[in-house]
Amino acid sequence: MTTVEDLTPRPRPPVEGALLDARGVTKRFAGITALHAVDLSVAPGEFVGLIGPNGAGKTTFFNCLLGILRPEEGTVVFDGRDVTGLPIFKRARLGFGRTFQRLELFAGMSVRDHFIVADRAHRDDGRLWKDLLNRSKPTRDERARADAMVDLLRLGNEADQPAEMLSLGRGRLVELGRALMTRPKLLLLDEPSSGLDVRETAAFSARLAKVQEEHEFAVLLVEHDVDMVQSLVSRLYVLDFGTLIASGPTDDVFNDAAVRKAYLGSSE
Amino acid sequence: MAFNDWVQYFIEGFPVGCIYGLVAIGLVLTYKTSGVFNLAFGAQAFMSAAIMYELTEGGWPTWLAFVMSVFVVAPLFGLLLDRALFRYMRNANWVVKLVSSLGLFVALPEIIKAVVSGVQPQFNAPSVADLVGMSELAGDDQVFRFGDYVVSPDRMTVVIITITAVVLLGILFRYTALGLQMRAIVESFRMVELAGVNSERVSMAAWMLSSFLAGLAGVLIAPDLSIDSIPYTLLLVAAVSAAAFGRLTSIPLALLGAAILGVGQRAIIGFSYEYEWPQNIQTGVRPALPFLALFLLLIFLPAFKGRRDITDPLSGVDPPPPAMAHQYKDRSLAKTSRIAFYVFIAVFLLVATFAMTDVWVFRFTDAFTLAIAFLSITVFTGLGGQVSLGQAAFAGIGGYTTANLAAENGWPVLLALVVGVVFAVIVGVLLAIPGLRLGGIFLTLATLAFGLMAQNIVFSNGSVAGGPQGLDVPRPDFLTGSGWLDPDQRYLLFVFACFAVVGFLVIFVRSGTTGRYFTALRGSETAAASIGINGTRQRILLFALSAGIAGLAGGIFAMNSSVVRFDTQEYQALFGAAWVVLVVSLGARTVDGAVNAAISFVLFQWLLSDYFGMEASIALIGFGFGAITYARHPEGMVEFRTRMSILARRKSVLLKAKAAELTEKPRGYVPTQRATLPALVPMLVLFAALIVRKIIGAEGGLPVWLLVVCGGISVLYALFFMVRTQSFLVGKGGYAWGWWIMAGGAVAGVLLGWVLTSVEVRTPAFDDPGIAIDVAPWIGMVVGLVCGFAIAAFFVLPVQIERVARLEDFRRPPITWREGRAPTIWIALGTFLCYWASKGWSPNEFEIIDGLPGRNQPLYFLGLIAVIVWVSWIGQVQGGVNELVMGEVDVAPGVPVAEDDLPEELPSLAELAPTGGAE
Repeated sequence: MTTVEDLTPRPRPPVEGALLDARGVTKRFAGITALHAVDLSVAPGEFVGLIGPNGAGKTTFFNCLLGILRPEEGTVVFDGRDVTGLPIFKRARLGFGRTFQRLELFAGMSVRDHFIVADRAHRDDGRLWKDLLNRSKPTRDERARADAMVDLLRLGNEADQPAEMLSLGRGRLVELGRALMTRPKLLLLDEPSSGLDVRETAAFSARLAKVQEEHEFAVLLVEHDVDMVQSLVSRLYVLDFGTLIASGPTDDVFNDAAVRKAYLGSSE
Repeated sequence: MAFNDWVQYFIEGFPVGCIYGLVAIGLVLTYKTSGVFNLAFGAQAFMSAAIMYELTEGGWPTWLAFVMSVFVVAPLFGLLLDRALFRYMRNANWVVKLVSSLGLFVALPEIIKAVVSGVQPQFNAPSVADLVGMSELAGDDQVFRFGDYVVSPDRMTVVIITITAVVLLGILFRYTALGLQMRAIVESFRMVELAGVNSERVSMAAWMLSSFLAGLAGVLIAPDLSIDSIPYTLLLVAAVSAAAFGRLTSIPLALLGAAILGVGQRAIIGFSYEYEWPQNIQTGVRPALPFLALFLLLIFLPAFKGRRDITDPLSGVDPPPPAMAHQYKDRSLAKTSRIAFYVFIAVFLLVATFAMTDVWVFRFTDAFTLAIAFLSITVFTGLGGQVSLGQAAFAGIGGYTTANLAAENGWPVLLALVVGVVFAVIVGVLLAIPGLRLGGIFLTLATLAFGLMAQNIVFSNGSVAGGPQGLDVPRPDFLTGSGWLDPDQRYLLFVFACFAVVGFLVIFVRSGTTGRYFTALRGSETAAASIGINGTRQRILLFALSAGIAGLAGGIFAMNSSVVRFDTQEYQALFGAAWVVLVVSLGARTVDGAVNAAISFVLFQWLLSDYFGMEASIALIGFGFGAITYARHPEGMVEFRTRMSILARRKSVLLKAKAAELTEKPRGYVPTQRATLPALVPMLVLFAALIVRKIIGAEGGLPVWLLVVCGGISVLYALFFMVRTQSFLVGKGGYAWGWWIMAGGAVAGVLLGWVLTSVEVRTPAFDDPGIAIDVAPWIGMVVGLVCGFAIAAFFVLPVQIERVARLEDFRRPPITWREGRAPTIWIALGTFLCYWASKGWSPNEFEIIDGLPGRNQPLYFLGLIAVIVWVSWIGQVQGGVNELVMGEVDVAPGVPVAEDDLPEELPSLAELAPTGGAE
């Protein structure tokens, strides 16, 4: 397990076989260094967590991974490809999926329609000429896939409701389903338990674990809920003031003194 | 350019810039405090200037007129705007706010022109310089001298007043609590209230202050301008450019931008003289500098990139907006409405082919062309969620290309039309590219700038506009020549076919992949990108589609009349703005919203200009008011009505199902259709007789006895229905005084009927005194009796239903008193039209149906609509009674809380299979 003393600013060698390999990511905003040489890797099918106090730079890092922000230094390599300069939608096509901390649903669309549009966008076979000839109705396969996702996430009761009428917990599930419809290789979850009560968090975690087991995608989870992290995550990174202060298997990290001091709070 | 020249430019341009600055401050202030970018400030400036002029002409002392127009009327108007209009839009999205202010922008100048003065531009406006003593200070020759330079007292006044105002404002914002509160409420109105501040008062203060500034600017600039609406529109655009320089949020920067703009305008004029620019560029560029500046600012300044709506963190407490009507999946209704739609189309086509007079053929041709143009707004705003004020420019591009190729170069006109569309698409794509990083109001402002540039630089240019005679664009060959129908009728069918094709294409796009992508992007651009939707491509596609549709409309416009000029209203930016208001307030998301808008526009214009003889521009007032209804129904009136009728129908279906289960129906229950039939059938007989007579070619109108019998049956049944329902409701606990009101209404109606038919009245429209409505008095009294009784009943019965509903603990009454408004309005309208018609007043040939006497035709059509309104009122009341006796029925979709799949007992999270764990 690495500790603070080990982290010196030297370029880390690429990790073999990693699905996502972010090296030396540095982001500055007008004089403030939000991220300082952050290294993070996720293996295929792995469940990785990223925790840290608020303001540590977790969302900034997320945004750099996704293409919303461009880091000043560092590279992001996904599935063997350098994606550091790619726009968001191209990264999505390569296999990134994400959910949002504040729900970003498509107002006016039903839950089922969310899944259908995500499916179509992923397969990218919608064409204007097809629309003009009225040949773009949802096919039986598309509807079957959407229904399967609805069933998987137990959203059957609300499947035809406009998404903006759902409660936060249900909305989170819709976002999860929407991301999953694009068959991501890596799912990035941004504080999914935020705003949910204990029951909803448990339901979400259960659903997530089940789906991940079935479809075997990798997950990078940013979270505050310690229980959720401990039960789902196998390897954990801790960020504080833009720097990684710990990384390694979950339990080791939770027991690390520096982590307790910075984030978890120690009892001594 | 010598230094001297620049000083001169500064001296002349800086005061103008100050005035731009005053309005720009107002714009920024209301944008910062309420999120509304008030395009009507130009008109408000105009208002104060016009009032001041009127008052001084009417003999008021200058100082009093000044105080009145700037310190009293202007802030009061701002207060009115806040309280009556923008208060209801605090949590609405930016499109709602923009369209409302657009409605004002369009309507207010016309209202002012109609109310305050005549319609001529005024010169020699009163000068404020005297008031502040500038004239005295200036000495005998009435100028101020600084070395070699002279400054007029007016200009000096402007500068001094502006500087004073800015200093005072700065103090207000920096050092007072009110200033701080103003800056806070735009972030979150509710949160500021939670902090103990009366946010409503702060908002009022901001509006009053901004309106005051606009009024001040209007009065100060009046000596330099003619007092008319167009110069004040230019003032507004200049102020918008200045505000854009300040990124819409910084007042100091906006002032700087205003100064630069004022001086720059003067400098450009100077250059154009000195370097002898060609005349047409001179006349075009000079007024266009503000639009050019705005356009370039929006595109090149980095501050506008990806700006989002400021969302109130507490906005989650508002209920979500209701779902679109077509999402209420109702199979049987969908089928009936589809059948009804096709029947309607068939009937319309039949009437158009066989029965319509020439004038109306032209009008409907125009209406359907306009509908195509409106479809471009349906695509851009309804699907794309953005607002474009430049659609008229795309129409102009399509039209000009078509006209030029066909008229000047002899191309076959259909080919020219296609090329026109292609060209419009190309320009649309070119406009999309710099506009990619803009969103929301900034994109709208860019399209406004584009539209105004096109109008002022390109289309006002003589060679483009086709010169004074215009261009003669021929119609397609296969439509001309002799044949089965009139060429004009054939052309109408052609235009209708074009519209139908475009309409279907729009529907297909909306329900296809492109429409889904647009909806996703509208909902959340980031989330759409995160699932792989290419926002850039979709945005360009959006521009291309809507520009192409508008271009098609423009090309068809060019063919409609025998001669086309490009400075007519179809191609003007102002009307482009009016179109947006009209389409959005009726319904931007659906094709029938566009059709409704087009037909309303044409009918309304006809009504005002041809039938009542008013200026066509008065129509703009109506559209402006449409924007106000829009504030309450942001999904559009058509959508609102459709949803209401779907919900009503659902309710009646549910009630019918409930009733079918009962062997014995509760007393008072009558299926709605059975209740309305006796009123409806006689009128249908009448209408059928009309058609039959026309088809068999009989002479004249309908025999009077038929009218009396059918009308009589219908009316008597309606009266019987009212009496029966009232007594039933009183029996269930309704107010007994309802009888008195209905009786009183009957008596009042008799009196009014007698007055209108036998008392000589000096009417405002005709100098010689005459009887208001020229029929026998007994007829007037009988009709008055019926109408008076009915109007009372229209309101009393729903109120009774509300009362009984409350007694039976309903959560929501089935209907409210508001149901009485529609039929009452029609009766009032009918009375008014009877008055006009009886005066022999039909200035132009009004014959929709060939062969029927022109004078009475409005009454026939009015009667038809009145019947529909009357009958549907009966249906609604009966529906309400049915619900009262059967028990409350809940049809609004709620969100069922699915508790069944959450585990009763929480599993310990450790039990959930952890993928990997402590190693």
